[in-house]
Amino acid sequence: MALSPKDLFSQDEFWILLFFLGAVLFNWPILSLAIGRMSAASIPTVLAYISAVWILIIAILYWFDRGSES
Amino acid sequence: MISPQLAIVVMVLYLLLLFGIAQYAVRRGLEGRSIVQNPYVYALSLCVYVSAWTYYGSIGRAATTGLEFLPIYIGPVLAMTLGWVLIRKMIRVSKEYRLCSISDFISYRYGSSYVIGALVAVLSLVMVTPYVALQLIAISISLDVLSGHTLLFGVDGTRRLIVALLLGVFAVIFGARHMDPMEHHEGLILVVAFESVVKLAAFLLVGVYVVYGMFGGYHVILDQISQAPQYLELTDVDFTLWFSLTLISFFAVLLLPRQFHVTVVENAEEKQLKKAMWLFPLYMLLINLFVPAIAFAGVLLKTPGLADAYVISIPESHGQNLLAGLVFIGGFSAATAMIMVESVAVGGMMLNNLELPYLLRKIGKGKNLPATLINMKRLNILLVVMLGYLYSRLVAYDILASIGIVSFLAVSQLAPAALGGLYWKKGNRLGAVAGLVSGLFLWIYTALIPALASEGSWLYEGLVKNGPAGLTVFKPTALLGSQLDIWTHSLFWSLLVNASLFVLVSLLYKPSPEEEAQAEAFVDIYQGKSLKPAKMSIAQMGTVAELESTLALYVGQDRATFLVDAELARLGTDRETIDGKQLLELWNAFERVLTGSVGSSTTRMIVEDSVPVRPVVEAAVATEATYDLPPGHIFIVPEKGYEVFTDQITHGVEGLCVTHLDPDEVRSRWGFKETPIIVLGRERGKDHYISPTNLPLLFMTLKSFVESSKNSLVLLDNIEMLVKANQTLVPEKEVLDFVYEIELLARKSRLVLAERHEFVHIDLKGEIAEARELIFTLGPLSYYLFSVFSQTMLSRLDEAVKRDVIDEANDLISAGGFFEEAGQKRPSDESPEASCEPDMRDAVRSPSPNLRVDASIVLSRRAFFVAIRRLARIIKKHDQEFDLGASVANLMKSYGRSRYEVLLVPGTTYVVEETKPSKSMELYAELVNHGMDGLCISRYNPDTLFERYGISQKTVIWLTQKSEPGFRTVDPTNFPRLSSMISEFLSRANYPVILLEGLGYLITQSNYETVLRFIQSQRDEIAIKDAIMLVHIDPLSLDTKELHRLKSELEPFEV
Repeated sequence: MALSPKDLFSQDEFWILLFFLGAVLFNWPILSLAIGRMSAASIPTVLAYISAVWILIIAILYWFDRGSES
Repeated sequence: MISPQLAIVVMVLYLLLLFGIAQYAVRRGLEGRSIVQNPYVYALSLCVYVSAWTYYGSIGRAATTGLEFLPIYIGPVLAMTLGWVLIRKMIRVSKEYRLCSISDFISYRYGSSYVIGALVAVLSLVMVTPYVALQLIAISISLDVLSGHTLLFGVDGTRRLIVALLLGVFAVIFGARHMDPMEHHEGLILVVAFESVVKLAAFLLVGVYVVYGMFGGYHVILDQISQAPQYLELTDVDFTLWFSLTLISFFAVLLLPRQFHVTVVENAEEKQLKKAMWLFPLYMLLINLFVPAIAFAGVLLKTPGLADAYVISIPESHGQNLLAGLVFIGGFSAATAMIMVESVAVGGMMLNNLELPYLLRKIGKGKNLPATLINMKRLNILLVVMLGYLYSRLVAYDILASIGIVSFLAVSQLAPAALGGLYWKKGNRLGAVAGLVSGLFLWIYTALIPALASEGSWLYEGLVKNGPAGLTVFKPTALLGSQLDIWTHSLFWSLLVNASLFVLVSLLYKPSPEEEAQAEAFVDIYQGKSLKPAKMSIAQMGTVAELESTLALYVGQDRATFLVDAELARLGTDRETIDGKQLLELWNAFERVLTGSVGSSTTRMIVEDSVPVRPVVEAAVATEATYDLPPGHIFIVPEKGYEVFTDQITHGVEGLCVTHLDPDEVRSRWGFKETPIIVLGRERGKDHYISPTNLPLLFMTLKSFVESSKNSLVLLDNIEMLVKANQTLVPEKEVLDFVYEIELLARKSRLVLAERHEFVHIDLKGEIAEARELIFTLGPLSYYLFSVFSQTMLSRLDEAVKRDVIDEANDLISAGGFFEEAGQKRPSDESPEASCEPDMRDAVRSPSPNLRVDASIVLSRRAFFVAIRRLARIIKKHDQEFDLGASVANLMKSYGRSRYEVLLVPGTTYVVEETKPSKSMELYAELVNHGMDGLCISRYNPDTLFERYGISQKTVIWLTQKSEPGFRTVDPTNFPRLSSMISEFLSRANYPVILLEGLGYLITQSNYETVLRFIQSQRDEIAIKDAIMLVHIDPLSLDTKELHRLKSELEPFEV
């Protein structure tokens, strides 16, 4: 049976995984894929990529906070 | 451009505003409506991370090196993903043990190590001084941009000095109001949170102005910069440096003194962290939103001056003085918040870890120590700020700009000890010291020196450029020829050596039991393994008044009284009725309060200073000791107790004399001088007096003495007097507990009891007799024990059943058939109720209202359990549900007895049926570990039994046809030899239990009939010698008939 997000957040391993995924997404080699490319709105891809990962992390952490409140 | 005087006035007005905000927070806190407990305030206070270095420096780095400003913020964002695992654990540990700084946190983990506390404090001071200087210079530069470089009062640096003084005074007012740093700094935290809002608002405003007011959109700036020649450089990333900066900023946000302070010390409740976990990364995102735009705009506009100052110089150069002023206030906010929190945190560390330990030794316990301590803390805060000021006068800004990273690198050196210690129990004090010292050295060599050495200086030419004495292999920026950027290089080598030594040295050296206990409590904090007082060798006991007066020395009398009363209320007791266990908890709380006030290492010194009796070695005499008293034993010496004691202490043993005699007489008669004496009495004198009715205090004093000595002897003269003194005052159980605990303590020491012959129920052969089980050996204790057990057994019955049981038991007692052996009775005149009428005697001394037991009865261990089983049988007749094992299980455990002992009847051979003999082995091991003499006859290798069940190899006879040196072996066909070995064991054992395992093997090697005959003969031997025998059989290894015949000879026993 699948666990609810609350159950997921209650497990230390989830946070460790999130940390490592974050560390991987913010570093070489994934980060190098975004270097030197220009996106459509003239925003360098690297900036857009870093912002997206950053916002994703904030969203997960916000979800954790809201989830535990409810 | 505004005038410098106006700028100073603006700063002062802003500080006054902060002062008002702080006062408001304090007032709210005093009214019980704390505003800083709001999770949003907590989250904003964490943003003290954004100092002037990051506020101005991010723009500078973005304008010169492109995206490399980002890892400084990515590290903290990643740290927040571990918030609920890592930061929450740091908070939990710190709250539990009232740890109020990062130095306390680390030193407490390693046994409250003074060395580690001092090392971390020194590292913090070294790291913080240039960092504070950087903030002051940043304010100074922004002032220059705002109002031009003019001299105030005609002296260069005056403005900076004024700023430093203002900030120092502000930090003193709100950071050192009281001596308990664990109390929240309401004013300081609200100010920091407010300043976080101000700096963010200022940054966003200038960002919006530059992006939309000057360029018409973010994309316009990006479009234009993409045409610039340096564009590729600005959007490129050095991945190695990127990773290093991410890692050090990850460590920094957890371990920087100011971050630890706001995140851990000022945390009101753990759930605040949940909000901070997303708000803090969001804040980091917002404050960086316009960093690339402002930096690129500065490049495109060719703004003059330092790139770091673009954020203020762009609006200023375009006539936006108000906006520039707001940005200045934002930068000023970033700097002031950092300086205030950092100086408070480091000032406290210096006091607790560097100054107090020295002061306590030098000036002792002065009359007004609380005032001295708080004043010293204030001076420390000012010192931190003024050192920063002096540093800022000596070093140029371009060098200081890299100091931020140098500081982050320094704080990374704390990571192996701090974070490793949080999860790895084996990490110990020596490992932590080795790691910290090596890390500190390598940080100085590879980061600090290269950062400070300007080109052309002797340091640069003589060391940095070519290595020491031209040895390029030791070049500070290229150790062993490694080709890395300076920061990665420093991080790699310093952390590699630091972490390796931490692990290696920790594995090589075993920590002390106290440190081990602290490590376990630290790492297993979620399992509720708080430090038990019994495990804390530093825990000392005294009266509540003694405890309060010691605490008052450090926190003041009023506060000490308040804290003690509050803790007594929490424990549900008061000063008059507090019991031993509660007193222990009170001392535990006392240590926590002291740790919160003066730090863990100083607390350790204070508590150790309050040890009532210290082990001392008397001047040795030249002759050999007359008596041989091996450690770990109890000796009863009726006449020559003091002679034996003196003989031992004048031959290198550290003694403690507990006596009811006049201590001066004892000293003059026996000629010892240094050895401490505890007098059992209520008077006060130069010796330590303990009331004979204060058994918990007496026990804890003995315990602290024994645990602080490696070769100790305690003379106790005598238990008889203690029993008499407590006869009508304390419950019998408390006396029993005391005697049993003393018996356990004797295993770590030697105990000499100077008891009268009449008080002892064993044969005293010679002058010195060894005693094993005091509760069955001395005075009325076995009666006390029966009293406690029978009351417990009867307490579960309803009144009608209880009456029937008591009547039947009394009949049996009257007929003399209840107690198997009366033993030697104490003389009747010793019995307190001897003078009473018979009916009164029952009322005074019977264990329950109507169970008539003679109080002078003496029961051996065997007789005691026989009586208990007889009482149980009577109960069982009236109440089928009664379970003897369950009803007395806790009592059995509390007196170190196996719960099975009461169920196994001496003189019986039991059969335990199971396929593998695991339960049989466990039962045997439990009985032997709880005081029975054991013999295990087994097919298994004795080493295996020790490994699996902890069964001592010495108690095992190995059934094997091979003769193995070092083991007792017997051929499985040699039954006569086996019988003689059992007989020999039974003849010398005091309370024997035998386990026979390997029946299948014996049958295989001979035949069933022979084995059965052997068991039958042993069964008789067991019955005669009142021993217990357990025979393990595997029911599948025998056919039904064989099994039946065997079982018919034996009693079944279910484990």
